[in-house]
Amino acid sequence: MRLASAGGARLLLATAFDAQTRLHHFPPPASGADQMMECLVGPYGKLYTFTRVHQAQGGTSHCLGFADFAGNVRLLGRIRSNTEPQIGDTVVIVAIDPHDFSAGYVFETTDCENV
Amino acid sequence: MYKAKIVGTGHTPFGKFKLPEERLALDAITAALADAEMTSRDIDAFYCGNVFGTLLAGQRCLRELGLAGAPVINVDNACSSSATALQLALQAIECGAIGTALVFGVECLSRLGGGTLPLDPQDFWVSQGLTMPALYAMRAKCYMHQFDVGLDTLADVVVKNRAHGALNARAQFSDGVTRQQVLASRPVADPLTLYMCCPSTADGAAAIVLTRKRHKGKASPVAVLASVVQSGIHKTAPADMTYAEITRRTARLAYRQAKVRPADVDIAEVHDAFSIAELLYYEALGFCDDGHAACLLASGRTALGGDIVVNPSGGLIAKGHPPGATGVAQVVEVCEQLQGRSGARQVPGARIGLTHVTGGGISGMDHAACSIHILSAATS
Repeated sequence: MRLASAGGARLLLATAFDAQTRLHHFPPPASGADQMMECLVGPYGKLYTFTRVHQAQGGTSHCLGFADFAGNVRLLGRIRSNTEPQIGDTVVIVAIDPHDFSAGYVFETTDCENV
Repeated sequence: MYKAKIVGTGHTPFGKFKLPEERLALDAITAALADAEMTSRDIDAFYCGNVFGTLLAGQRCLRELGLAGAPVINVDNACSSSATALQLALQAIECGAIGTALVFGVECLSRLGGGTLPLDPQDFWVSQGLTMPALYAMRAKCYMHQFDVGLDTLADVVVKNRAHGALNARAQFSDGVTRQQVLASRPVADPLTLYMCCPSTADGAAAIVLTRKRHKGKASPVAVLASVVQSGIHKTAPADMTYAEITRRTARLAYRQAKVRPADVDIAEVHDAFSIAELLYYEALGFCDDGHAACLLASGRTALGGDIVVNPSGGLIAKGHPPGATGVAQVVEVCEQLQGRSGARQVPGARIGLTHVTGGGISGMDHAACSIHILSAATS
């Protein structure tokens, strides 16, 4: 998977696009990706749905959701937000240290309407 | 083409037993053979559904029966494992390759130590933290948002199924619950609370005997009108997560094969792993129009006493969900209902029954494997 900068901290995710199946693959498949076009997705998307996942022993909960991006792409990601997110919220892809979370990105809710 | 009929059923209680799979399976298998008035020597081939066991689950479970070399086919298709095994057995009988088959499913989740079902950690969605409760919770959020459905409806599915389970001696939960108790149970993945999820640890086994030969058992045979298995379609484009595409596709094929309509179904054992699932599947199975599942539930038509009773066994929420066993366990419940031997939870005059299991947990698919069977009381 590849993160690309675009406008400061805002980031795009690179997907592999299969022209035959019209499918985006994210992360790009382990084999066959060289037959596909690279396609950038993001940085802004709309939160399609989400949930707050609770730990059985009362540990820290976290939010997880699917967000839709231009180009007919839906991605799953952790959500970082100061308030409880809502369906339809605008989210932006933000890079994080892969040591903290292996995906290397999260969705952050934003007031920006530039989607 | 030969026609197979179900002539024997067996079903252990579901719960936390910490017994070996072999012991659980043997209890179900010997009960099914006794019900069919057969011995293991009458069986031409065995089919075993199992997900989380170790190598050669079928052969391990059957070892003590004295197999004498009969083929044993092991099937892992997630929650659809033993339903898929049933389809394979039917195909073998109907093409004439064998005359009699025994299909069983077994699972011992308690040995995994609890928690949500383990998924492939290499899968990208799973590596992001996706679990089955989280996936269904996100479906629930969508459904509630799209159709203005409240938490009470999610709770009322549980109230109904726990009430059914209280009439089923095999159910893991044998007590009823109130809407308030469901809502007050601890949150798992919003909006789902603990009681809205099937128990995460369940052990059990179920078995059926199928034959194209003359049946010997006392219970009337049950005909299989449709047997359909479908796989998920990989999609990365936005899709409606409330649509349950794989179930709709499987149901369409099953109704066509059985030559029945949704309105003809008297009872259905449906994959209610989470309370939202039962609502989604009412619509996907054609029991009501899209967006009308809450109305159907509230009408009481899907509860005992209604005209399309869903999960009379208590479903996965009350009876429990040992994944390898669930598909055949649903078939056992429907058979016994069609044969009029379901005791306090008997649906009077049930003629057509449907079973539905669907298993997921991999990136890019609504669900990975879905199976639907439609059964009816056989005429001979």
